[in-house]
Amino acid sequence: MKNVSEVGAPVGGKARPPRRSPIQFQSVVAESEHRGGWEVAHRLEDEGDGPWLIDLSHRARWDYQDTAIGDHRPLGLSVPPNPGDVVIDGGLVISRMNRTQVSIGHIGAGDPPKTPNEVAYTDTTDSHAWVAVLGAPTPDVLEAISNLDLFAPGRQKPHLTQGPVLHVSCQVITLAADGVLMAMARGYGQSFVDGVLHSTRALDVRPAGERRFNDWTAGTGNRGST
Amino acid sequence: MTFRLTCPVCGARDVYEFRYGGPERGMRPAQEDLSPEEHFRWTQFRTTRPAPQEEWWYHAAGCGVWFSTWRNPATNREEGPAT
Amino acid sequence: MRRLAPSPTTRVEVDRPVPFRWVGRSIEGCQGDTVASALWNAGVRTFGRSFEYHRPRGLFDLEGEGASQLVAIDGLPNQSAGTTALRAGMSVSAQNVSGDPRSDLYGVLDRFDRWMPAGFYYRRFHRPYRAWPFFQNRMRALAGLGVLDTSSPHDDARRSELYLNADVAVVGGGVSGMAAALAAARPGVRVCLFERRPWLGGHMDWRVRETRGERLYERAHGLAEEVAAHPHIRALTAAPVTGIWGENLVTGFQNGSDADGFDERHWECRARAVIVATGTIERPLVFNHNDRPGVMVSDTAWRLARSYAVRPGMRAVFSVGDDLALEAAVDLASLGIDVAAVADARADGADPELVAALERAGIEFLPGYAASAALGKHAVAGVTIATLDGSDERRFACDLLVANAGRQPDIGALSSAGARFRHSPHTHTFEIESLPADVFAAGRVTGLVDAEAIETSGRRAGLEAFVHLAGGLGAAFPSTDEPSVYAELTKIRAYSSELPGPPAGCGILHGPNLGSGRKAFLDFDEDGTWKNAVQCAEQGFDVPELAKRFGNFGLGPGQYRVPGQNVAMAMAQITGTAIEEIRCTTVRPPLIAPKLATVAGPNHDSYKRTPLHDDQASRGGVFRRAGAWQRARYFSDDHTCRAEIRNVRENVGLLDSSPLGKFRIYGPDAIHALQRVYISDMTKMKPGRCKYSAMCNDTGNIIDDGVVVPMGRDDYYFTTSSNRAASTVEWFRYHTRYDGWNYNLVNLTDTLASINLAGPRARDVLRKVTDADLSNQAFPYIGYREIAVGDGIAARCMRLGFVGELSYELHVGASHAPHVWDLLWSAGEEFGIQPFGLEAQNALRAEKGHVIIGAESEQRVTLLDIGMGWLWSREDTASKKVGAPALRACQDQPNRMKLVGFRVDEGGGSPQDGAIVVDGDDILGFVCTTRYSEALGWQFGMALVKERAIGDGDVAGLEIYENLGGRPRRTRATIVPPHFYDPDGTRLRS
Repeated sequence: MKNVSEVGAPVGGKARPPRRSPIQFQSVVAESEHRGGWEVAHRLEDEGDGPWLIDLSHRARWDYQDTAIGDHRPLGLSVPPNPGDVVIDGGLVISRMNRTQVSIGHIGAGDPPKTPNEVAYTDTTDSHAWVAVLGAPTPDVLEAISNLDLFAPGRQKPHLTQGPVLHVSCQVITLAADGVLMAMARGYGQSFVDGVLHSTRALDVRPAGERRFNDWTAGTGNRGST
Repeated sequence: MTFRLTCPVCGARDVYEFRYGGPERGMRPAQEDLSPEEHFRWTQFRTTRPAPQEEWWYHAAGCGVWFSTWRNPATNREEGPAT
Repeated sequence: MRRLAPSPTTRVEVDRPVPFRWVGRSIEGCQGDTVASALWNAGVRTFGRSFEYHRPRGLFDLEGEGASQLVAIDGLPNQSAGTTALRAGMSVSAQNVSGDPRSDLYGVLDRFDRWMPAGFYYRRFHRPYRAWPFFQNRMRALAGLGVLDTSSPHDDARRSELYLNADVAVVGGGVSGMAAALAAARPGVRVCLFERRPWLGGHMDWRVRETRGERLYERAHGLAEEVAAHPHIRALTAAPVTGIWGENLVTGFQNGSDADGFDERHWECRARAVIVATGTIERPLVFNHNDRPGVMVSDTAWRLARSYAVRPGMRAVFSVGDDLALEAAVDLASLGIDVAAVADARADGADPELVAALERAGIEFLPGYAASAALGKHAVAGVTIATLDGSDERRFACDLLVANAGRQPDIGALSSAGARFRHSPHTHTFEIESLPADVFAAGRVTGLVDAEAIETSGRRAGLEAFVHLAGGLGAAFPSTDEPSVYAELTKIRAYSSELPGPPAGCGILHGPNLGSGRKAFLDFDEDGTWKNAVQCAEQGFDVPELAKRFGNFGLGPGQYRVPGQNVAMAMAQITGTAIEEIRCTTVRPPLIAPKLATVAGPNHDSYKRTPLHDDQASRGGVFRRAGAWQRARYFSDDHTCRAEIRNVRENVGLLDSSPLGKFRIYGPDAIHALQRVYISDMTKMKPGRCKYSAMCNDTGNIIDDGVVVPMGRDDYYFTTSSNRAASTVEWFRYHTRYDGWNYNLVNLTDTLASINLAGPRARDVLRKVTDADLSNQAFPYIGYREIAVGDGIAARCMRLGFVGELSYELHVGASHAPHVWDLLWSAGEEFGIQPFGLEAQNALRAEKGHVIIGAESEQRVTLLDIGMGWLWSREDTASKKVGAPALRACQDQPNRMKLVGFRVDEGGGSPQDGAIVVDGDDILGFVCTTRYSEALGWQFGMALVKERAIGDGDVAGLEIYENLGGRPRRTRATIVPPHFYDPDGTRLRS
């Protein structure tokens, strides 16, 4: 067992042992499925019309580091040229963190790819709590919880911003004017979503199931009230 | 008090995102025959002047990169060395 | 009182009544009122009592700045009547009164002013010092503002924050501010505009005077519509600025309505350039009884009438010093208010057009006159007006006295931004001398009065800011129409020079026949009189910054605005200094005070939960904050944790140690980095074995310890103490920053949970959930194995013994941890498995003599001093280990502090952690950790003491001194080796 990616993964097991997300919403789960040991909520009750807060912590993530990172194609993806750049390709979002490091996340439908047995990969699925904020008032939500300039005009979306949101260090990917992804240290996950919901009550942010996110990425979903 | 620092990876950010690493003071000296005086001069002594100096900063709440930058502690603005 | 007939400038809906309560009485305001305008309309003249003399105070200015107009609303004290929007059902009460504000019992204090000179509180009552608490309590009962009702409901959910990013921030939404915003806002340029009033327009919002074929309010309303509709401008109204900070951080707050979802929210805006267009404030005229309810500045009277349709008084007298106030007099007369006379402190220089209008309105105009005293006991009933030399004195009956000594720029925002000011003999104000690089000023704050000049200065400032940014940012800044912007700017610069500049101002400070000035106020908030100012100067506090503090001029809620530059003018006059040689006082944030709750923001605590948080909570875990984490400290009410400890010693316990720092380091130079930061020789690692070592800082203090395990070629896994996890990457990178080494770090602290299974039955439990060979031969002490648990969950397993028993530390994926916890729990039930918390672990490890960094070490002691020198690879100088030179330098120093173990002597009781170790009056050190051990049957502990306390002999005694609630206690103890429990380690290795 050379790589942490294998820790936590079943070693020739039968049924997938249960896994738990760092985030538990108060909302009642209306529809869900078991996927790879996770109980994934498709839909929660009382999701409202947006903005939505969606837990994606069960989605696979990887860290990839190399001094000559530009020469590689991690998981078959081309490495974005500059820190802050983000590329979405084949259901994966790859973001350039600094000179030597990218972070990759699985946002597509279907199963995530297996972690290649190469030294540069670390499976970081369990490292982060990962959430999405979607809906037209997304900039208003982020303005209430962070001073980061996440929606600067003229900056090509999607892009990555690394900095504090609610005083917690986050990797924030601005997907569009109505959608962001935020990953933070797993231990902060519950405090973070509690804080978001508490700080933005006036905006009526509601927890929602994964379907909202899937529909949104597929471009078919209702993008929320304007 | 508030000022901004320009992280080479993330751009201009609030100083609260960074941790200070002291002024630039050269490489860690070789330890072969290093006298205690030389060692403590390197670890403890700082030049304090109200003029631009090269400093180390760590982007703790951001990308996690150490970088050095020129800053004038008298104005808290990033400012190149006096020529 | 019946409202005035609505006009196009009216901001209230007079036919929509809003009922509310004032000191228990039911009264009515109307939709759009502030509390102050509603009270004034209802005939309320006394809003409260003053801070020191309990003089009646009323409405002086509507900007909500002085203490005079602070009221309690629904139990919340110190609300500004002038700016708080009236809501139906509000219960408003007066402050600082005993009884009704009209007949306050403490009003008698007003007669005692001669015994309360400037600096009174600083100089009296401290002799004899024992008397001070008595006087302090008496004075606190009398002084102070408002009473905090801690039982009043406190809706935390109605607080919020707003963080804005802008290219240009505009402070002030008057005509110049709006013109600046419109000029700067272009595609790709974000402009934020902040206006303290609930609407844009500034002072032109209510002015009906016509210039260039348009009434001023029409111009203001037109611009406001343009601003509101502009796609690149965000205008926040009811949003006062509290300060401008380093690199253009503008902060403030915003008052919200029910519909906004917040009552008051904090906002801050990071901008690249700031335009300040804060306008002017009236400089109060100092004369006898100038604080009587019914005395107000001209804007207040004018806005009451024009914005709120409230009649400011039945019969008014003006004693003023600027044209705007003359315009107010003309306008009030046109609205049907009887203006008896207008005194202008300027002998000449008044706008002839306005003088003619006064004449047409039949108002007596008295140039070269000013008010000398307000008459009337509780409210203004008349005024004496005299020539400045006091020779000709006239008396008028009136219920409204509009008074000012001219105008001064509202420099608060500029001052907080770092602007400098200089007195101008032309305008008699402190004008801008210099501005910081990215700050621009526009409008009346620059001294302009002419309407066209004001608007033009705004447009110019907007363009200047845009060009400044374009030049500063090069091609990155939107620059499509830059050439045309330059042309426009050149044109507007030329045009500006043709427009009228600042006119001459009024230079008087106080009215004629002032006398001693014992009832003529420079500052209303803390009852600072002219006489007090004289006393300040007499006692040597004779420059504005000193007088401000000694005489409390401008230290109250109104800050600079009421005393303003009058303090500087007073000091100049009293000391006979030329005003040009005097600097005005610095204005400091918050320029206007928000509620502390607003600054605090939504109250939520961000902390880390371990993956086993809920599982421990359901087992009775009592959580405490430990660094970033909430951790289970106890599992019962017994905080000595006897049962938890016993169960680990006798059976088996389960500890969640997930906050343990966990890292991957890999790459060709990873070993060099490890050699640099760890004090041991890290090349001597063996597969399947944990290498224990420590990190030191440059002064040789131990800062971290943990184990490193080789995982593959140039690939290592290591642990750090929980507190160091957040700074480990920073530490590695800092100490290798010049080396250019190729290695990568991944923080796995949150990725992997850590479960510690400890106790003599640990192997029995683990054997039930894994097929791995756990025999002592196959998996010995200090071993590292990768095993499969349960249905094949991969776990990194370390056989370590922090608590001194056979134990296994399992690192499993965080999402799998609850399942593994459950598996271990079920497997362990037959062996008496129980959870244990941090306190039990602390006692267990101390019993074993294992140190915790920060408990058994501190900044005065090195790795060597705490007996861990065996970790140090002394011969290695090539790796340039962090801390090695310091260890070398102090290894032979005499009488350093050393870590020792001790056993409290028979009958010695239980000293506490942190107690000092003494030798007579000499302090030799302190107790780090001490506990009663059930296993040993005695109180043991570890202490850091000076070497001489240890003595030469085998048996040395320690004297521990404590002072518990005033009762000294001395405890005798004997020094023993700090390996109290199982000194041979047979249990660890079993």
